[in-house]
Amino acid sequence: MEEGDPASGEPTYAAGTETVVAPFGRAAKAGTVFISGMHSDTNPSPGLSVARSLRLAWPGLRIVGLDYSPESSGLHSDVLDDLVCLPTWRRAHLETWVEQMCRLLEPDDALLIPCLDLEVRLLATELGFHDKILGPSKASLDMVRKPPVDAAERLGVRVAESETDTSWHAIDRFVRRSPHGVWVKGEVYDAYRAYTAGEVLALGSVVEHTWGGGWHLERHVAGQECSIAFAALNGRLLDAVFVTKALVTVAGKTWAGEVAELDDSLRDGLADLVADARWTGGGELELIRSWHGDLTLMELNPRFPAWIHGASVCGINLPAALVAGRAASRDGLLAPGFTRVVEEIPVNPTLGITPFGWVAGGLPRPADKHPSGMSCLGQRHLVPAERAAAPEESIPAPTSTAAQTGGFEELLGPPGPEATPSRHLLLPLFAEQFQALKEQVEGLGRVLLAHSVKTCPQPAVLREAARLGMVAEAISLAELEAADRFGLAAEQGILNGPAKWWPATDRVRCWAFFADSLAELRSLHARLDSGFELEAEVVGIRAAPVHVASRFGIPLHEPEAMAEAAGLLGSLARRLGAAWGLHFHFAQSVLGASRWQRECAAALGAADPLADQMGRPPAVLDVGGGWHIDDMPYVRASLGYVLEHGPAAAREADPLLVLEPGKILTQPTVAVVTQVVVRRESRKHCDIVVDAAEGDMPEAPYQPHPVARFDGSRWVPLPPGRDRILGRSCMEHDVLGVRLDLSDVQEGDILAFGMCGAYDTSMAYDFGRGTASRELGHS
Amino acid sequence: MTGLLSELKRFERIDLSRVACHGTACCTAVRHRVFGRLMQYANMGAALAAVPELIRWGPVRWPAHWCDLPEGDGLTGDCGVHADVAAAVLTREAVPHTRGRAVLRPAPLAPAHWRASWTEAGAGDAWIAGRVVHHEVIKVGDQWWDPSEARWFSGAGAHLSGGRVLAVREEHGSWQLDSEASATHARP
Ligand SMILES: [Zn+2]
Ligand SMILES: [Zn+2]
Repeated sequence: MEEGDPASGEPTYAAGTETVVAPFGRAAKAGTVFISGMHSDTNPSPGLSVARSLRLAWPGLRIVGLDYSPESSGLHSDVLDDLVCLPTWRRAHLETWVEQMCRLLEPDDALLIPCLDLEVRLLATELGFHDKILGPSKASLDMVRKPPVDAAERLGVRVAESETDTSWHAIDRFVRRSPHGVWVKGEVYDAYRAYTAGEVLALGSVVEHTWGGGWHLERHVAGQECSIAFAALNGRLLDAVFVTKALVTVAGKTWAGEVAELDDSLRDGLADLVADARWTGGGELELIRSWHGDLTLMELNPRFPAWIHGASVCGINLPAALVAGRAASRDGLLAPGFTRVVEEIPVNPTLGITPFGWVAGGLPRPADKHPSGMSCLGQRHLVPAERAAAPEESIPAPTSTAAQTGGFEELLGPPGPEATPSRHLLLPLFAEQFQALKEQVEGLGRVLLAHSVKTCPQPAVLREAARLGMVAEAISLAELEAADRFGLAAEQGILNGPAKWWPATDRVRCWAFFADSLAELRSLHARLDSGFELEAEVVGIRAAPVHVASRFGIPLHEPEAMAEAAGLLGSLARRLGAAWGLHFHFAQSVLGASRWQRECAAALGAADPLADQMGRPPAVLDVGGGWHIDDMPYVRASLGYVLEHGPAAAREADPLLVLEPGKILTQPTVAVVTQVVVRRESRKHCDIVVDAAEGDMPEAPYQPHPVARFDGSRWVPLPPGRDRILGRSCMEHDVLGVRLDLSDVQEGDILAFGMCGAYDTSMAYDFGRGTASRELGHS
Repeated sequence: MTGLLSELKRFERIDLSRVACHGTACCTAVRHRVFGRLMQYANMGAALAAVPELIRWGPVRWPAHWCDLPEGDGLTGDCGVHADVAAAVLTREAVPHTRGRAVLRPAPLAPAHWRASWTEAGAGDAWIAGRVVHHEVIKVGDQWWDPSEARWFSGAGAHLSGGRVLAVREEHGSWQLDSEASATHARP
């Protein structure tokens, strides 16, 4: 600032010595160019890059860096003639800022290139159209709001699948259907990768807390990251460049890139987009190029990207084109790409070095640690929200059957006189799901459906399974016996799991069993030697997954394990006079359909080499269960994939295909009815405590459950919102529902949780009732 | 030089800030809200950094009571509040310190923002002079602590994010000037 007040700086037209190659002409029309967003670290703002590009074009141009903290590192660079340091947004006054920006731009030959997302939006809102600001107007910004569906259409590229419903259930479903993970994207800024619904919920609240706005989800698209940067003036496309990222930082920021011209169709599409939006300023389209070469648009930023000088050094100088109002003619590229290097520079003596700032570890990291402090600007809500916060606009997911996550309440009668919490069996849903599954597997060959006893050992359910023609799948002899008592004959049953011979007995008869380990195979031989009587038509082994870690199964993808398994299995089958089979199980609800079918096909692929060593093909392929209730429509396609891409034996030897549909049938068959004990309000949201607890529905803290409230005459589903339902126990994690709107719920109201069958019922336990647990060994 | 000296004279008349207490629940509840939160930190740097995170920087009308600090969901206080709270934390942990003041030369466009915010809030802006501002700090050992920024600084001549430190003065002490900076400042 020793150079004098930047606002009254004399226009120093780029003098341009005779030796300088000046494709834009020796002198810029502009006298002073202000550039904001000067911080340069591993996640740099674009300002310094823009300044360097202008300096490259006009060595004598007066360039002034502008930012909101002396810690903004680019302000210290000697590429600048002067700098403007404004107070951080935590300490800035809006009208004063507007006045000062206007005053800086008073000289006829002054220009501003804003390079901070939120600042671009604030300028557009507060200053409206301003002919000295080379940034997009409010109307232009409105045309390209997130997700950029219209922009993608104009460019003729795809757009990533997104989800704006941020209820727990919608998040859970979207994550399960995104095999490469999802991005939690803030309305204006910030994106975090997540792989589970739990991570999404946590990151969503980070975004809300940091930026003070809403968020949505986008499916990650696997591929090569690339970008189109462009410069435009009043809707006229001046120039553009296509960059493919070659090196990225841990945070995914560009470190090196390959530079290319746009192809004609992209250029035409971009020119149309820019014309329709009447765009002024820099811009960036973030894209993913798939292996096949097609492009998906992820993001449209209303400013130059931070790597823009990388294109300039290759000969495509967009900042200079923007200031000159035209592109320089060029004859090929000066270099095929660029890379960054790290450079240490002395601090500007006027700004000095700011000492280390301490942070309070226990509180959330202060939002304004990035020197430009844009998150503080976000929190002050000075920029109008682009979209209403998600809960207000989320649309309830369409429901097709009562078994899906909405609609259970239609089958539930009015609350009776019984004490709450109470468990209600909705048996018709079991048969309904069974029919739906039968339709999915029709035409897939010979299929056997086995009821997974552990997912619902209720006598009524076991009888219903028997009535529908299912067999039992048990993980212990105790289960097999219980199933037998209610009509699922033990001699038709399947034994699975690592301890299937428990409790110990001398004699077992079943239809099939699948050994979980080599040790189990060895010990079976030993037990048969010492008189154990075992009858089975099929002996099999469980294959461990190939790509995901699991404590179960034999790693048949390891040759030693394969050789030993084949030997032990072959001799066991001969001893018992049985056929052989192969089993895969990993919860589809964890992997999602796409990853599950690949894992299943890969693991069952072991059937072919096993068949070679055994000298005959498998009689049975068992694909397990663990399917998510919402994914019923995917069953057919996933099994089709497994049959097509799994072992050749599946296609050639006509093995019996066994499915063990557990929770996909039983999840909807139980509702838990509960009463509201306490309602507690805070300024921002409310919590209620109900008389049910995680002991009554153990999966509730980890899986979304639909909830309905009885309004005196009927059950009404609770809409999404920001409130929580807490269980009555004293455990921190006893949270039964989140992101719900509980404004209509009062103390004493009766609520019902749907989807409480399966493990919510079979694993339920007494807790906090003063009852002592059953003494082990004294059943 | 004379310019700076007369500003220093004027700043001396500003009392170091002490948040007052009504002695009733209105104030003791706010005190509890602040110190209950700050007690969780086992590390002094983290505890002192939590002060400006807990109490957002902004205008306060002096003399202020604890019950004047809540605003919206949070608490608001100026560097005087930050210094008073930080000093209380240091006292509780038996870290010897003295209160003090600094004169900063902020970036040229900054004071206008602060004057506007303080005027809007109806708070006195005596701490903002022409091109320099008064700022409350703490001396710990032979170092200075900026309670609003949670940073150590060496004294006159240092740079804080609020500006260059032209002078510092311990309570009951005398001004220490940064010779180079005061010379610059005196230049018309
Ligand atoms: Zn009070
Ligand atoms: Zn201060």
